[in-house]
Amino acid sequence: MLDTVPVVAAPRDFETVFRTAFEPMVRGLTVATGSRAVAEDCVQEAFSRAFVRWRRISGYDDPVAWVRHVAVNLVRDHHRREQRKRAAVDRLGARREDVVTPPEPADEPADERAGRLAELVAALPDQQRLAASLFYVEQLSVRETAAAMDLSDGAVKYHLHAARASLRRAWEERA
Amino acid sequence: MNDHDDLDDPGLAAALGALAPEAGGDPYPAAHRRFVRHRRRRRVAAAAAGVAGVAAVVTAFAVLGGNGTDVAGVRTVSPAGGPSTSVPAGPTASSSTSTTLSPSTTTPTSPSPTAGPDTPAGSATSTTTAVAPRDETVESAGGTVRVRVTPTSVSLLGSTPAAGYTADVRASGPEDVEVRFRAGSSGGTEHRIRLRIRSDGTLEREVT
Repeated sequence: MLDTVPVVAAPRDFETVFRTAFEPMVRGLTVATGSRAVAEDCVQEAFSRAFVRWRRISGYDDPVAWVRHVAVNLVRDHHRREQRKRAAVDRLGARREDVVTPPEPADEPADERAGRLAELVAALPDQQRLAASLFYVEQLSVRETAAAMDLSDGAVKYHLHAARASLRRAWEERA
Repeated sequence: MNDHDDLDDPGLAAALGALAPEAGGDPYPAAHRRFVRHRRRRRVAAAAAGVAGVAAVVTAFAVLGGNGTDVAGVRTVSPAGGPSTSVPAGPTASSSTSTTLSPSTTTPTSPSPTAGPDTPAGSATSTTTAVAPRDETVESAGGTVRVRVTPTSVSLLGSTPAAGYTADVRASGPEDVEVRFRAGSSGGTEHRIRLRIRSDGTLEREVT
């Protein structure tokens, strides 16, 4: 006779999924983008896309992974737009100090130590910053991080190692 | 978890987590309004796209479905429209019986025996008799021709050239229909289909 294994069903109700996943996702992407407002906007947009397709998406094995994947892509779009904006301004010959850009990170951390760490994170390459944010802040596994970033597990590990090494080295140099 | 064995760094996780403190409050009500707006915009966009698609299809039919329009090598002629249904007055029409008159045939001649009882005596007679036209397909080596035949007229419905041939419509009715199919450029093989209504109402076919 087969043993009965209790199965904890993943929440399929949209509101429950939203309430469970929204805040961790926003926190992770806040570190990745340096701005809670941008992170909230990306995550809300991802959820709103899920909302209109919820009948289909709720049938997926992990609907949250779909939403996270969309949100990560939106963050990448945001980065690309920002880079293009900066590049265009550079091409026009404007001096960087004349350019009005939102501070990065936009939300000034409370203490100086956190501020220095935020600067170091902002200086990381995009992939490393995103991987570190999802893995260390949102507490995803390597596999979940890889799924969200459309990368292999090995690539995610590489980015995480590189990010951690860069942060530690810079942190020790400053100390 | 194995994934975390060599990557775990609680200190770093805590420091990074401190950069993004948890926000208080319930984000769902505000977000829900955005979701509903998004869904409404999406529905409106889908409806607009549907209307535009239908309008495009209707326009395409209106443009391509007119009388005598060539579409992809097939010439179509409206079966009930144009001059193809008019019947010239003459001994053939006047001598024919009611079964030889096509729909909407006007014969400005003396009263015929088929005129209805309501027709005033001595006036020009307008007789409309329901005679079902028949469609026929005539084939040649160069292509096929579809025509609509009544006892007094023949009109071209469409011509379909065979592979390698082009159709040249010389006459589309009502007295005769002639279509020539040519292979290649000038000087190539030519096949001809010529159809004509005889005085006795039968269809004369000439296929070369």
